[in-house]
Amino acid sequence: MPATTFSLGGVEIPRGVNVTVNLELPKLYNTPTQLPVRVIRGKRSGPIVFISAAIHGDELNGIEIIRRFRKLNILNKLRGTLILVPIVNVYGIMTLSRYLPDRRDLNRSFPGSAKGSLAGRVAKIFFDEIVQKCDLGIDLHTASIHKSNLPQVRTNIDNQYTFGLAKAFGAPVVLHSELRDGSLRAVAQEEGVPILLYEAGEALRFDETSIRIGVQGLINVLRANEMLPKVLRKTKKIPLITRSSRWIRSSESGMLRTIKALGDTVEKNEIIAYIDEPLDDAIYEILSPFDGVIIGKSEIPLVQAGDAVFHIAKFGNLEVAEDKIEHFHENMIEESEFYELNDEQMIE
Amino acid sequence: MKLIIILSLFSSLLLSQVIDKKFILGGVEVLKGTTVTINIELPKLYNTPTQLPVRVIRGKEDGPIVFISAAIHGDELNGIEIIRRLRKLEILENLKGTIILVPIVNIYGVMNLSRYLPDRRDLNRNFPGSQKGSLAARIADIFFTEIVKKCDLGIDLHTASIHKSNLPQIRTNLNNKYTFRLATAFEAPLVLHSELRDGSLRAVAQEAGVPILLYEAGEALRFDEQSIRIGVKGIVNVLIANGMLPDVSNSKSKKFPVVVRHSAWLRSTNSGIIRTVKGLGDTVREGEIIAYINEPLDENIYEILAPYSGIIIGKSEMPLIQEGDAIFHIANFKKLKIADKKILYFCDDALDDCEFIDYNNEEAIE
Repeated sequence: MPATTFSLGGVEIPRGVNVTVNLELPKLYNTPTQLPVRVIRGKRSGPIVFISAAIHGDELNGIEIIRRFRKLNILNKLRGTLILVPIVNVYGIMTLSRYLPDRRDLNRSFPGSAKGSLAGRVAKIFFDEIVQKCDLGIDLHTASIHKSNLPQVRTNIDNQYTFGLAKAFGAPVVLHSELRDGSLRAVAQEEGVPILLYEAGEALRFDETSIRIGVQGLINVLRANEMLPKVLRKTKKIPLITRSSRWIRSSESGMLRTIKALGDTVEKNEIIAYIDEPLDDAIYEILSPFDGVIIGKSEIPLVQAGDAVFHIAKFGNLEVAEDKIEHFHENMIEESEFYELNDEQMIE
Repeated sequence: MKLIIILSLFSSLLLSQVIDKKFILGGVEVLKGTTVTINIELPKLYNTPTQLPVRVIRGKEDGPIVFISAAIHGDELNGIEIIRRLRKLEILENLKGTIILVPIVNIYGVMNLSRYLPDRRDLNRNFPGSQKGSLAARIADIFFTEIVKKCDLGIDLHTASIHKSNLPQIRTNLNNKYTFRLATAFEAPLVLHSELRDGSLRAVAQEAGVPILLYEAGEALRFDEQSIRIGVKGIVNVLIANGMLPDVSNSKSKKFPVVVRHSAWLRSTNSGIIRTVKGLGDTVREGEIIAYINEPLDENIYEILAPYSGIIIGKSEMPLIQEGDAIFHIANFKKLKIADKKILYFCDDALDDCEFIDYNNEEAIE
């Protein structure tokens, strides 16, 4: 039985109301710091869902996904409550960094504690004030610094509920992903709050395709979760679903030339990159260890032995893979079903 | 009669010895018609030995001496790949004169993915340097004495600084006829007049009588296929125009790049999240919206307008911005239709098949 009263940060929010609440965080040395949160409460009761971004301070696409998403008129028909947190790691953003000023990774510090490190304290505030009140969370990420990801949803595909929502999102790839100790996803799941993780684009960059797939994906998930009215759609395609993927690491140090792009299919033993020295004629080839799809890649031409170069999802049927990736990608760059989104100019 | 013949033989020997000057770099003599790599010793990085690798290609025939350098800022990498592709071209077998290739001048910076040296100095503000100065000054001195001073011309390869990107462009002094001619011969889409900066390689080399062309293209810490292709072809074009390579590109009537005297970086009036809605090479009209700035949960949106008509030749690639940060570099140019045509011409051409067969084996960097 969903509560009729909902409060966050000591502010009571009635049904049908849309407010911004600023949660107090520890000061950054002497600068006051707050966590801005938008709560959108529908007129009718329903599940409570949080949507968060920039838990790593350099992963920015989610900030723009939330900005476009919150402007959609369809949210007037919301059942239940949405909690939008466009920047969880407020400190990291200030220094263009994944980490907190104490060099800790917020996404390894959950559930946190009121008397712990700075990371532990921020995790605790976010977890207690927001996550624990929710029935579902969608956490928006990009690849880490100097890497980029093909838009993909990561979740536990053995859980029917999250697997169903992950497919509904409509990103080209759904990847099974194990839980990591101290991560938001692991700790929230223990507390009974399932999490979908959307991973798309590059750290410190906006990517128009990743943003568009993300905005539409949030709507698709809320529809599947019966929080927004459904639309009759053409025959739906199912994204590429993969259980197994691997980061291919460089065997050499030097200059890296990647000759395959995100979303490309690769065959076993196909050349995907070259490594060389500026004045040396020896060239090392990096080969794909199996048939699959490139779902992540390094964007920086300098590489050291052991650095991750390509993230390849195992997939046997490459023709099917190509077809699906093209379908989900091209659909997104076309006009959106929401006219208010079509006012948005493409980010160049 | 015999005496005259002997005398003239003797004098021609003398003369050829004058022209046939020895070329020595890092204590190594480089003979005509040979290609060698020389490692010049640099100060150790703490306890790690450090060297400056240099490739010298000496043609069979005499001619000018030209250096081509990259990564004087350790995070500007396109030039490294430009030099790698250039040195493989078979056309260099016909070289008249000598080219000195220095793919990474700031070895220390590359190790840290940084523009700067470990002493936090900018190598390109520390020329001519000195043997007893800071680390930056010592490296500047070695590079300047061993390489720059021996040359008749230099081509220095750059990209935009961190989190920014540049439309491929040549920067030089438009008032110097010689460098202006070579700058247009390069065939980058745009030639920009650029004043000298104190302590920069270009300023100090020019004082020492070595004119410099600066090629600026792409983004720091990234490879950009188009910037690399225009760069490789551009260096060949300059060497042809400088009489060092045979002219093979007589097939087409040549177009002239966009030449611009004035440009300025447009700075942000607000802090927040920025969405740039114009790309590199786009023409913009005075008063046109080129970016939006907003706060994540605030409805206020600030518009950034083009202050004059022109061409976007540089831009910020990062969505976070503070008041005062540079967003767009706009070249002042009124004839927007002509600009559109020229930029399209030079950029599209670059991605077509190249005239060098050995070059088309290179797979495009994705």
